[in-house]
Amino acid sequence: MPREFTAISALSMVIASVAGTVLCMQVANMEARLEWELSTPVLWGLEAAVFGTAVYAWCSRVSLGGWMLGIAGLSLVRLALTTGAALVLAATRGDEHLFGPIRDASAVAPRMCAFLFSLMVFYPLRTFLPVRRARAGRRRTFSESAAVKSALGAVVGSDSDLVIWAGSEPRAGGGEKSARAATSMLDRAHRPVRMEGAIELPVRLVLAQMPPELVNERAEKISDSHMMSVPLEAILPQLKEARVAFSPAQIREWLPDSARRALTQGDADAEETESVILPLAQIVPQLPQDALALPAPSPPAWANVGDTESVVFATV
Amino acid sequence: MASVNYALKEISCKIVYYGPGMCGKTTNLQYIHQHTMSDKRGNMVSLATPGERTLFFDFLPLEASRIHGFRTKFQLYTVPGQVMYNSTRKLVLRGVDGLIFVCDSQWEKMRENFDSFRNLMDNLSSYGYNLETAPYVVQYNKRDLPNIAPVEYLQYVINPRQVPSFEGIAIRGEGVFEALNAICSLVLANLSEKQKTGVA
Repeated sequence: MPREFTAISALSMVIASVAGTVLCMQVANMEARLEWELSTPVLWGLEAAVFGTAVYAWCSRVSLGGWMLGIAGLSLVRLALTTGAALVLAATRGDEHLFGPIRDASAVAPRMCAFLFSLMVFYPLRTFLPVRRARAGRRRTFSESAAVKSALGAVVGSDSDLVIWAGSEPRAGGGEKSARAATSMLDRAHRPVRMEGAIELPVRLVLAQMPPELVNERAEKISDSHMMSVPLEAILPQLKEARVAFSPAQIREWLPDSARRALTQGDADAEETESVILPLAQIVPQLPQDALALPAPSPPAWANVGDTESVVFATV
Repeated sequence: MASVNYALKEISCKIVYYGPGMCGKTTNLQYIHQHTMSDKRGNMVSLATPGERTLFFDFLPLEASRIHGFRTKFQLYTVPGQVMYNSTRKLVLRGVDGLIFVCDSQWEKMRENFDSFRNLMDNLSSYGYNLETAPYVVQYNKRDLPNIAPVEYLQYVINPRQVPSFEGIAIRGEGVFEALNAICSLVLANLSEKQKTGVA
């Protein structure tokens, strides 16, 4: 059950307590009395029954202990409201003894008033009532299935005679170091390549990737035959990250004069910080043959396990 | 977190299909489910959105041939590829014995492949695992589509270490069992190696 007791909950409890006490006192102070009266044990019984129902309605998974705690808590709040009303009543009337005010505040009408307000006061506290544990035999939800447990690393078949765990158990900490090592593992796998030359890209395609506020209507007039050259040395270092991007300012330098007129002068900061992604599908086919050459295979240790027995799945 | 039960002569391993959203991980599992003998596999558990996107993960228990008298069982999992489900991906990776990284070969998915691979490394590292110790193979899926990147470039971006890789068309079953067999063999060989060296 979520613990959702907040400052608003506390405030609502205070307001309900004050309102309940004042209203209870007012009702107790009234001249008119109900003609019917119920005995005190009957009233307590009725209150406990309604309190018990309320606790269950608020939290159907409440444990037996929690349920009784709820009833006790509600009864205490109800008693506190009645006592508070009696004290205020005594103070306003100037009674020397509390017996009279308590009797008046415990009559049916003010008691009902205190009873209703006790429900309001206690309501925010329902989140703290203990809930019962899931029964072993109940229907399991998907999240409790063996598949999920296995995914979460629970021991499958833990009642077996002998289980040997291969590989390391999850370790706390050391994650960042390992992530850096893994990332650099990939970076090391690419050899630095220096090549002269350029990639020709259609200007229209590049302008389509520019921030719209930097491109004016002249861009529409640029034909597909207009090309721009992007130096290979600027492209190659980015290829391993599956994205080739440059700032609009950089692109502006490479554009032919005719196409440069299709750009408006934008904010200098934006031109440096924004990025224009160039189309890989146009770039990669133009790369020189050796640009994507990888060094000799350097598979991890697990790939050098010698003879591997092939696994056969029975297929249909 | 492979388990070897000598009493029952049974080995159980966990294989996870990892990759960006819509790359074909679930399709791989569905093909395997449809094309394995019903007495050698369990039910495929799948929790997907109405748009057929994996919401939690897919699960398929599978039994392979006996190896050295041991029954070999594999639990195949996929992860949800969508970026927002990273905590689920991380959970599924827990206790993984082997990985199949499924790439979407389309040009426009290249960056997603790259990001997903980096995400895999990050998530593995949160458990203290890494690709130096966890066997993995790569499947370049969707090779039947028109706008695909050449394998050389996919290899350059995703697989510079040149671990076993396979071109695939999962929807037609091409490269599906090849990748599965390769990773299962590697996992078992590593398990055997670890036990020999006393790591297990």
